[in-house]
Amino acid sequence: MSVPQRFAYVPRDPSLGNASLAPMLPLTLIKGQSVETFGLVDSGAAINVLPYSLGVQLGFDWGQETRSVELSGNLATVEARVVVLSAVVGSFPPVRLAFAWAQTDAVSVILGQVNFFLEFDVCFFRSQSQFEVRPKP
Amino acid sequence: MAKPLEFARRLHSWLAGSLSAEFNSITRTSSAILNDTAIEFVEVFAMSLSQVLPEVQSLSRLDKIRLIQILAQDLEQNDGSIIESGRSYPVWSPDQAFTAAAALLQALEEDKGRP
Repeated sequence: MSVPQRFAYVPRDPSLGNASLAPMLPLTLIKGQSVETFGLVDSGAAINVLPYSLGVQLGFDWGQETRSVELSGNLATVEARVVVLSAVVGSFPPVRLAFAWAQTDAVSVILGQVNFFLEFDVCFFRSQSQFEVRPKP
Repeated sequence: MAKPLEFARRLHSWLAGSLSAEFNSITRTSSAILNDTAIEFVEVFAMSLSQVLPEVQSLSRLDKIRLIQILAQDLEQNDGSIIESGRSYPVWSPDQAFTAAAALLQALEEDKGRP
């Protein structure tokens, strides 16, 4: 079993200080291109979400991706397409992650139940502003 | 036993800060504490609500009102520093997008075996 890697919470809004701390996981997304980014580890999200411009950077073509999905919450009015790519977290082996590629940039990369939490076990230590991630056993 | 108002002040102090912060405070102001009633002060830390309640109920009507004011002010200040009134806090989580989740799982299944 892999040893978990620990990451620090990151402030998302400097004006809100500690109130804006969030578990933003550094990871590399790989498709046609490789892009280093941060994803919000969101156990309340049913799915992974990829913002539009990041999908374009990775080499996806909106017109070519025909599998559409409906989102909910603040994203309910946003169109989304299904894309599958590789992702590397820390020094762990790459995994396949499926994303709802949203047609908006007003959202972070979201790492949700399907399928980030199917690939990784996560422990949150909010009082210490840290969280741990390790691949599934 | 401290006087009721003094007790209320200490109770407020206990509620306002974390235990570790208060112990740091004690270290810094140890002489001041010792001049007062340090043992009672420490006892307040270990009190549960059921232990505090009889003490609070023994306060005079005026001190009870002052205690309520102090606690209300304290709660307002603490809450206000975390969630600001009137500010927008968007929640982007697609929290019930189960159909989309099923579509992603299907896509992963179809993607199996691809390089």
